[in-house]
Amino acid sequence: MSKANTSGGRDFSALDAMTTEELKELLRQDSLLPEDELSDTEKILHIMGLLTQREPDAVDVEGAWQTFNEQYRPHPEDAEMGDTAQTDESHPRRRSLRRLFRTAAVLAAAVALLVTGTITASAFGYNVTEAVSQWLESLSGEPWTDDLVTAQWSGDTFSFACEDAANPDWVRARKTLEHHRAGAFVDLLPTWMPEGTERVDSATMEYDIFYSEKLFYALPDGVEFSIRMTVYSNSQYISLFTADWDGSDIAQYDSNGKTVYLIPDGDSMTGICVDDYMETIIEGALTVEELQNMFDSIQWDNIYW
Amino acid sequence: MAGTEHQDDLISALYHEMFPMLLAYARSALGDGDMAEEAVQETFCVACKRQRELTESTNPRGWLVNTLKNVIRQLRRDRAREAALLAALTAQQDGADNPDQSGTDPDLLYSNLQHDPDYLLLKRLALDQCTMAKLAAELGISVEACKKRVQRARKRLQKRLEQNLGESDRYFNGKAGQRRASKCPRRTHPAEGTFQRLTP
Repeated sequence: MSKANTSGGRDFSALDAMTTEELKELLRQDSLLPEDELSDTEKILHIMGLLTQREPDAVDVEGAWQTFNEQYRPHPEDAEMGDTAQTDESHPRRRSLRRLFRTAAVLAAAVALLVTGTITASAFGYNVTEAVSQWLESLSGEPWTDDLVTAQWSGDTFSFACEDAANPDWVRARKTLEHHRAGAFVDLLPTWMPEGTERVDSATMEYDIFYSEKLFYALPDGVEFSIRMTVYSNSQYISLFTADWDGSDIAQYDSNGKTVYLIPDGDSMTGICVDDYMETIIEGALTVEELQNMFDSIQWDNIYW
Repeated sequence: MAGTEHQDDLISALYHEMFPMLLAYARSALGDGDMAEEAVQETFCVACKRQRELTESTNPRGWLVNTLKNVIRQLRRDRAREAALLAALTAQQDGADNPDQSGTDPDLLYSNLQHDPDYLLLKRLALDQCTMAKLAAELGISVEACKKRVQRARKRLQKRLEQNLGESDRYFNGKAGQRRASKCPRRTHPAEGTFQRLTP
């Protein structure tokens, strides 16, 4: 047992004194850490070693190795191919509001089931509430429990709220949300637009946690683009619906103190600026210069805080 | 070739040394079911695909632990998303405002979905908690092929759900969304060098 007490010069004797269940709980907690939070690998390896010693139930390693080679092992040509399981920090994760709203839409319908269709859910023999909570947790990196989530379904309107009343940011953000919900984002639109720009359409989307307005524009040559501005009622939601922006080269530049990300997407170009509770996205068949000019002309001081 | 053999030896050695420990971790995180073993197998899949990275790592055991964590995270995320997607689809089919039917046999109520092969595929994974290996065996295909089939099924179901969410679709595309997709002129982007100039 003394062999297990130290590892790499560190004293792990406190771990030795823990029960097996306590050690398992430590591993479980470690597995729930957010992606950007590093765990103590040496400590984890030590715990894993302890558990293997304490529960020497015959693990058929040879059988598993055979299964691995027969069923799982990738072909050589797959080697070094991209794999989402290993985080590659050289490709930063970016937000996609399109994905955001798709996710939100799915979430809305999913949570609606919790409100209106729990009998169906249980008929599957599966805890959908838990599944959705896990999903939210995996997206946000924060624990989600039923008491933090309330959902309402009225007619064709769905709403849900995930509120931490103890968070002082909530009140401030809530006021911001209400302000922009009432007055839209007129003060925050770019004051520079390509010559001949004409507004052709608009749409809004709102849930308890965010309000978003999307404005559609057209240029005389038929090029169309859109500006989407979203304010969240809690800064944690900015990272709630994150998604990879697949396979794009992302550039960034400083625009009046704000970082703007520029992402080519096929024939289109997307510019994203995220600032605490606010997300601004301009996308369309625009040039980099046009995007820059628009972002540079936004009067960020007009945001209501 | 010698390098490949060396890498294979490394994978084999690490597998035999680390499998029980990684399994202990996965069981703590996911429970004692088959899912834990699948997570470990998937971890070594990643190791095979990223052999160079593993070989060059100063701490291959730590690399494997971190990879397992990412695999578990991804597994949870996938299963939860699939469960949420299935839940959303069933809620949609239910009309979401018809609780009077809650006593009806779900198999009758959701007869369309219950016969949809994509739905059934995801249901085996997300609701029945079947492993990818078991599902592949049921279908008589390789695990890799099964993964791709699941991926395609997920996309199709997602699309089906989105198509029915008219309001969000309008948000994505505007009133003229369909026209925009086909008739919007394309403007040539500046050369890549211009774009790269902005990168710090």
